[in-house]
Amino acid sequence: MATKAILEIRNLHVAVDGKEILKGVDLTVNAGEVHALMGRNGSGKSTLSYTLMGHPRYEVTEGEVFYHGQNLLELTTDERSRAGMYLAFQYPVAIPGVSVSNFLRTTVKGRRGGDLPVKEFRKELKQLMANLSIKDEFLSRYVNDGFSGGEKKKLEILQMALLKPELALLDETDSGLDIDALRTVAEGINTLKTADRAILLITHYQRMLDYVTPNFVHVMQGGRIVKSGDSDLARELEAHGYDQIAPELAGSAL
Amino acid sequence: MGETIARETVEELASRLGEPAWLVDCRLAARELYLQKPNPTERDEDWRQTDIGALDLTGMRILSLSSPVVTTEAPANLPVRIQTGLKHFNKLSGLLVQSTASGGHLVFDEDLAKKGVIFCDIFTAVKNHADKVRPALTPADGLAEEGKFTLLTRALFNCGLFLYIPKGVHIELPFFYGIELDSTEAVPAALLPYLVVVAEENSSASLVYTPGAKISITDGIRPSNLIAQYADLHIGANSKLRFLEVHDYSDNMFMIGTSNCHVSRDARYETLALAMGGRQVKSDLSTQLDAPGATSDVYGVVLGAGHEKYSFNTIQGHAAPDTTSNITFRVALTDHSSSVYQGIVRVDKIAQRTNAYQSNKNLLLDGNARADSIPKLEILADDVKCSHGATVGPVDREQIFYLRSRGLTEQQAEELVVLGFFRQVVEQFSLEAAQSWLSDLVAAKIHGEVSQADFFEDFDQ
Ligand SMILES: Nc1ncnc2c1ncn2[C@@H]1O[C@H](COP(=O)(O)OP(=O)(O)OP(=O)(O)O)[C@@H](O)[C@H]1O
Ligand SMILES: [Mg+2]
Repeated sequence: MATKAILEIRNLHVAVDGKEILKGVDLTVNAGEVHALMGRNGSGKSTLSYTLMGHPRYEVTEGEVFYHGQNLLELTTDERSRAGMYLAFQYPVAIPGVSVSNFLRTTVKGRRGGDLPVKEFRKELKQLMANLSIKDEFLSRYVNDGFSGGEKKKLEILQMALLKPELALLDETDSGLDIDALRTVAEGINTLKTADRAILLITHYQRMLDYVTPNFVHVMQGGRIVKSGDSDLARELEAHGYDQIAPELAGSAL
Repeated sequence: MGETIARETVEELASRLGEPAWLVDCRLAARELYLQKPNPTERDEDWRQTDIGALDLTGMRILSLSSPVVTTEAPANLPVRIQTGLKHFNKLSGLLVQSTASGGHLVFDEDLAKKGVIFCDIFTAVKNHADKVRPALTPADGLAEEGKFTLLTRALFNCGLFLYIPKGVHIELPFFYGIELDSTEAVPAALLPYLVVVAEENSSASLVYTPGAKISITDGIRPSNLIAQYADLHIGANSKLRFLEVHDYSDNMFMIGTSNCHVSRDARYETLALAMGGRQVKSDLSTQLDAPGATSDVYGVVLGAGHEKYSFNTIQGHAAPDTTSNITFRVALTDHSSSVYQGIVRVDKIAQRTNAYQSNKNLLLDGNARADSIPKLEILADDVKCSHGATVGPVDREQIFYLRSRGLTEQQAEELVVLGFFRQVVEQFSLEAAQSWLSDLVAAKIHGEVSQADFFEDFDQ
């Protein structure tokens, strides 16, 4: 049986405010796969995730991206979301005045369409919150407003669990989590790992990959994927650092 | 703008209403002063960027409203806009509606009447409760200081409310007063409501007031209709009054209003003004803290679209020591709409240990919208804590991107951000119905329908 590509990125070049950040990214993610994307600070990982989600500041100057064989770049951000994509932000944005409960209900209703029975939704939500050990009082707080780093990441995963995306882009969702939270978040991610979905996991840490085993590991450097391998590559990186593993780029300027 | 109000116009109105001589004199005195005052122009400080050029008072019809029919239940034929507002209240202490289309209706809890509470239209009050309403209608210190349009309302008021809460009476459920001006005739029409609220010592009450009209203009006739209102509120020692004003007009309408609240010792005034439409809305909201321990919380929320213009002036008057005032005003503007907010903090020499806070934030949803914020401090006492701040800025695009990445369209995302922006003000106002009402008004204004989001319907408990 042929594998089904959910995401195909070909020679992607992206500029921000006129400066080229991504310089020819190629990546294919098939259904059922987990890909880990690693790389030094500033190598372009978040730029890739924002671009895939259609952030208006990121300008695609060259290349193509297909989502389920469809030209992703013609879709607006909300169309991408409704088509099944999800980005867990590295730095989730606060929306003062908007309570978490109403925000979740509005987004889930928008995505699932039609009426969202309050009772069932509440039950589902409470269950997921319990799994992620998020306290009830968060529902009445403003979205990400005054949240700690880890609390923001948990809310990103809670939303992912509610929206059940086909392609989840997780940008350093593990950063800032305590040890217990990391495990619960990883469980949340593993629940999403089914044969018809895919996950792109941006991370700096092997610990996350101990919980969520990737099928592929990629190293990004200077706006390109410079090395790809299986889960052993992440372990080698952890042991030896980027200089050894990708020596051709050691010390290169951004 | 035309100027003349004929003496006969006043006299005819008064005789049609069968008014006593003292009130006719009062109307005529107000008319005299009105004629002496120059027309306000944009060069006047209080009228900056306020455009009433298209308002023609000479040809304006001063409408007459039938006196309210007393019923035990709210009638079914109320104006849609008022019904939509009423939906947010389960129970009321009283309901008064005055509409050019469906007439007048009054519903009032009899038990409250037995306790001495008065809730009726202003003309019934003049007839039956002259002793109580007369002091407000004939102020002891004269009319010379009053603004041109307050004088206009005093001379020609053709509708209005009297609410009287006797000493020691506490009323939880709000009173509701709705006014509807839905004339589409070519000759412009005016309603001039005069509201008098008196809360005696140790009492508490809440009043909801919504003047407006959402007329649909079909064949190009756009009469420049006017609502010119004056609200006079008195809160006795140790009492509490909550006042919610919801202004919702179609874009042919002018609203020019003044409200003046006097707050006595250890009394508290809490008010929220929502403004959601109108060609030019101009409102002066003044609170006078007359005795130690008096507190006022004034909240304002404005959502402008099209070519609507809003001018809000707030006056925080501290006339006694140990008084506290808070003002939080938020404005969101789309299209070519504009707003000017002027916030005056006035602290008399004797008003030591005053606390005055003022904040005005403006959110611009469109590059063509414009907001100005002008704080004015007139502080004569030396032991005063006063802080004020103003911001004007566009919507945070990162917030919009975040929400769109969760599947909301740009419009839905903006609606949510605007609601959040407003909610931070409205949730400080203790009459909770204001929150759900606001979310309906915002949704209706942003996409012409009732909110899909049930934004304020919390379900978490
Ligand atoms: N507006 C901009 N102008 C110039 N350079 C920018 C701009 N925005 C981002 N960059 C640069 O693009 C590069 C890639 O940033 P990106 O956020 O994608 O890195 P990253 O791989 O996610 O890093 P980290 O691991 O620290 O999260 C960085 O060098 C960053 O400074
Ligand atoms: Mg990053």
